[in-house]
Amino acid sequence: MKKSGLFIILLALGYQRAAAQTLTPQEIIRKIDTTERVASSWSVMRQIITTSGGKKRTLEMETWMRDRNDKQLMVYTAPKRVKGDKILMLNDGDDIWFYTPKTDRVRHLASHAKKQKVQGSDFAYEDISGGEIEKDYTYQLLGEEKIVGVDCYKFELIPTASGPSYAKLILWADKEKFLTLRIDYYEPDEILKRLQMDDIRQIDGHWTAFKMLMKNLQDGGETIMEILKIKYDIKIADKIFTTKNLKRR
Amino acid sequence: MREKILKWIAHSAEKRAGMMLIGILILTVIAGGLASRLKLTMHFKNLMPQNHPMVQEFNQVIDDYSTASMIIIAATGEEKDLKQFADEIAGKVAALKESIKRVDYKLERDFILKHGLKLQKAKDLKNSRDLFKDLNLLPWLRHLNDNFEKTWVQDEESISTKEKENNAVMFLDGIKFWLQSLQAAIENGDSQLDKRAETAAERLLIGDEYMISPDKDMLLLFAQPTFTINEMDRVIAVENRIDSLIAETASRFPGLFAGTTGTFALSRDETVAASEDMYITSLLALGLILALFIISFRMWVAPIFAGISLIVGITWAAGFAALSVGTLNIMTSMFSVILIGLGVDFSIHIISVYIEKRAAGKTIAEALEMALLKSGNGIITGSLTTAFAFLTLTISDSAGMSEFGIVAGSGVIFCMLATLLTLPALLSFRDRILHRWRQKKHVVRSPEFKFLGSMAEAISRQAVLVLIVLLVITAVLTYSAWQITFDYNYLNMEPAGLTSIKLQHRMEDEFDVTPDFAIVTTRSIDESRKITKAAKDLKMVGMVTSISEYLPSAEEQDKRLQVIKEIRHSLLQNKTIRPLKPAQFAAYCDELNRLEDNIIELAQLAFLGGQEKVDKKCKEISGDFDAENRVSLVANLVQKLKSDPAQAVQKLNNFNTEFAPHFRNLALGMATTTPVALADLPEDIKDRFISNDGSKFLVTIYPKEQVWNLEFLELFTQRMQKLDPRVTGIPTIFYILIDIIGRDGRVAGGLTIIIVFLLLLLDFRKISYAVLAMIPLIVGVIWMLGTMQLLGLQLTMVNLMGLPLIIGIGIDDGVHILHRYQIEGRGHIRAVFSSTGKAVLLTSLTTMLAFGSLFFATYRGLGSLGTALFIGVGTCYLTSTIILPALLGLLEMKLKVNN
Repeated sequence: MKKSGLFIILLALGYQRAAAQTLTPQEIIRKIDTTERVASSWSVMRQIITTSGGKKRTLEMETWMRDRNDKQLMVYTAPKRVKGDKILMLNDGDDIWFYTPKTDRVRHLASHAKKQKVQGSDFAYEDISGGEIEKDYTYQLLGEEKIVGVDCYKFELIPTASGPSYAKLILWADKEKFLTLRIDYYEPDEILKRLQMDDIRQIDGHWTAFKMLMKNLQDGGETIMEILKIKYDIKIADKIFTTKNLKRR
Repeated sequence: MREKILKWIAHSAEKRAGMMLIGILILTVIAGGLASRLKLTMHFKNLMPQNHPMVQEFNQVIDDYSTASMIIIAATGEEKDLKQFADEIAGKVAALKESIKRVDYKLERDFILKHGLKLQKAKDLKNSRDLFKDLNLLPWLRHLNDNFEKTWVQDEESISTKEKENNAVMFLDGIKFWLQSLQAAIENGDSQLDKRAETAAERLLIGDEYMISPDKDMLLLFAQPTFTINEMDRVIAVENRIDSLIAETASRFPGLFAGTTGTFALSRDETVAASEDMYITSLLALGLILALFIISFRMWVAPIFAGISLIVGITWAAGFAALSVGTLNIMTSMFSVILIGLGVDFSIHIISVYIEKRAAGKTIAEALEMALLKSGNGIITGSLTTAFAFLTLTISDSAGMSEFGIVAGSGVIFCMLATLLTLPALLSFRDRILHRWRQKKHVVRSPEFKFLGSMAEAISRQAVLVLIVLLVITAVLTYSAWQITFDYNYLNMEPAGLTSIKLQHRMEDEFDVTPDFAIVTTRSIDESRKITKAAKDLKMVGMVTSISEYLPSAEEQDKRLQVIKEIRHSLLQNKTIRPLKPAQFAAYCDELNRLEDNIIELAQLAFLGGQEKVDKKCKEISGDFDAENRVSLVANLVQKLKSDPAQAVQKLNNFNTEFAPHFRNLALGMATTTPVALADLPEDIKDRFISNDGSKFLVTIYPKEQVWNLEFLELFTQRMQKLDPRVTGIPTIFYILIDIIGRDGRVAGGLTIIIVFLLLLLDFRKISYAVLAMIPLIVGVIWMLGTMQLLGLQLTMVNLMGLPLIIGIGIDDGVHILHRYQIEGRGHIRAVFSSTGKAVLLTSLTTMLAFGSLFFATYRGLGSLGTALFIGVGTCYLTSTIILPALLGLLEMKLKVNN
């Protein structure tokens, strides 16, 4: 009895593996999109920016995301100097607004801001804004590789006309969790930066990288984004993502 | 063969001491004459292979561009004092006609006033064109705000590079001065209104004419010398003269601090510091060693004789160095200290045995022969292993390393020869005189250190236990050695506390300009333009200066001229200045408040983006929100205006009556519609970017951040080489040098180990003895690195040389102990360590004292080498005197069991 039970479990595991192996690149990409494009979330984050000269700056913020990252609101909480400053991103980062309580004015940043760095960090707005691999890129499964000991799918992503401004991305996603573990960002002929995910935990049923390190391979700087708190699938009202709401204290 | 030579020396020293000494004196005088020709140069560029294309290109730039090396006069203090000081000192320095060609300390005002708008990008011109549409108070301020928002607030990338950051600071500085002028006009009425309004217009359009920092507390002047940096005598003389002029002028401005900096000042300071270091550390080493000698041998004469032998050896070595290399560099400059530390060892070994034998009742002739025979072999092998270790460095492509190999390698041999020839003759001479004067037998005390023998014997008896303990210690120190890091910042090797370096650091902070830039020379202006554009596109680049900045391409000029024509048209059309109506006063105040809001938002974005200078300048205008009482220039002005609106309107109109015409005239002057050509450029700009023969153009690329971490240095060098393979400059040269030194250091280290082993094999003629001698050396080197790491020390470009050196030096202890063991035979560990142990202890201590004296060198690179070698000699002594008795004890036990 015990033997047959074990046999069934092994068979099931084997079946699962065989099933995973038969996934098409499109199915894998859809699974990654499903994993990463959550309905809504709220988090408290810490951003540590280190320049190539070794200067460090630490910023803390509270963020709200909705509609599979299409809408995002970041509210800076520390240091004191920027407490209350807000950045609102709508339409997958095509519209970016900045508000500071010091002037109580809302500023629309230039339309090309999407590809610009977020407040001197090594992340661009388009790196943290929403987006969907299936919609924003053409992709090709390059194979499988281990990243920090985890079996991963390796994809080459070429942005579509409406996609991000990079020439190409190489993405590694965990074969079991369908979560991105590493992305290399390329300019036409050279690598620009590398994003590495770390400290993976499951929260509210969603796999989450609590630490993201973006290493700028052009100037040696780096930015670490740490999640201090996070909640998923919470109800966030529409009005949160309006320019009017930015002025609310 | 060796024995025969040593016996001959002993015999000659006993019979013909006077003749020998006269011969040595003559040789020494000749060598001294040659040595006086030795020159000193302390720039690390001189360590590079001089035929390396990057060094050749760098030297070519120095020759081709008269402005590539300038004497920089830097002053810090209050803005008003700084400007007055600059006006005075510029005249005095320019008066040194024979040495100084020109002094630059102001912008090329005439050129900017004629072509200024053409130097701005078409996009920026479009953003600001409305500013010239209507110069009446309200519309002008409204357009200023529109321009501000479009250019600085809504475009986050507007301050993303150092160049853009500097432009933002300049713009804000203009606004600050304009606000202050407005405030003064409101508060003080009409006195100096015309002048103030004119300056405000100029500051807004072209910025401050002085080369003053954004914070207005540091000012620079550039003096162009008539000679190059290679003429060190002139560099020192002129730098000293300018420094005295600065001191004399600055004394009249309390609170003002000034001095010279840049390559010239640094070279002068380095050379002076290194010369002083060389004498001071040599004297310190000699003094300490002689004191140790006197204390341990309890006699005065022997140390003096050792000192004389050493001086003879070093003089011969210096004479040879003058013939072979001609110039001493960072690495070879401390050769005398190294030779003092190593050369005195030969005397210690000879004197130890000589005194020991004389104390045992031997005659002068017998004692001399025995001293040379018993210690001579060890001295010759020891000196040869050390010399060969040094000489392996000659394989290096680096001029610094290979010259060090020649100077130190030959120096050790000269010191060995000088000691073998001079010391026995001196000892014989002295004893014969003493014998003649006193007519009685001179009594000499036995100098043995019995406790060393007892310790060695105890170790040999507990060999297994000792070896286990040593293994544990070695494992810990191996782990520690593995963790040691490298300090790539060459400034950390420069002398500490020098004014030139202090001012350079301050200059880097204030102006974001460092001497650590990359240089590319091009064959045409178009090529300069392409490289400038490609460099600016690199995210790691903060700023690029080239002739193309002053000479835009025809296509660029066309685009700009279209906007400039519009601006010119607006300026010519709207000449009428209408007074602000009382009804417009509230709107004007609102625009002032809007300006403040814009500045606050820019400050917030700059703070978040890490652009500190922009943030600071914004805070000077809108106040610091973190401060208890925020003082805002704008808020104060608005408050003042609102306190008496009627009078405020009148004073505002008075101000604009003066300001608007000046602004229009200046702008019209700058909005010329004829394209700028090469011939229009002022001489100093041409001097800066065009080679002396007019065939090449200079592009200077400043990294965004300090380059002194390896990862960034490597990236920067690679990117620059990709940009143009001819690239040169301090960071790229330094990166290549690190690479060469690292590679050659490894090869030299490996080669030294092989050569040392072969020499040991040749000397002992037994593989077991050669291996035995090598073990404490290898363990000693591991202990040295492990200890350095534990003490928080790092490897540097200079102390990295210590590794091959310590292989050559550290082997000596084992060689002497094993030689004596070979002579004394099995079962005499106590005797070996009682006698030779003392000599080994003393030689190690003297070497440590010599290297330790480098710790006091102001040149920190030498200090890092001295500290590394001090530790290395110490660990090699410990491993030799602990491991060898343990291993010998173990071997003896094994042989006993076998027998």
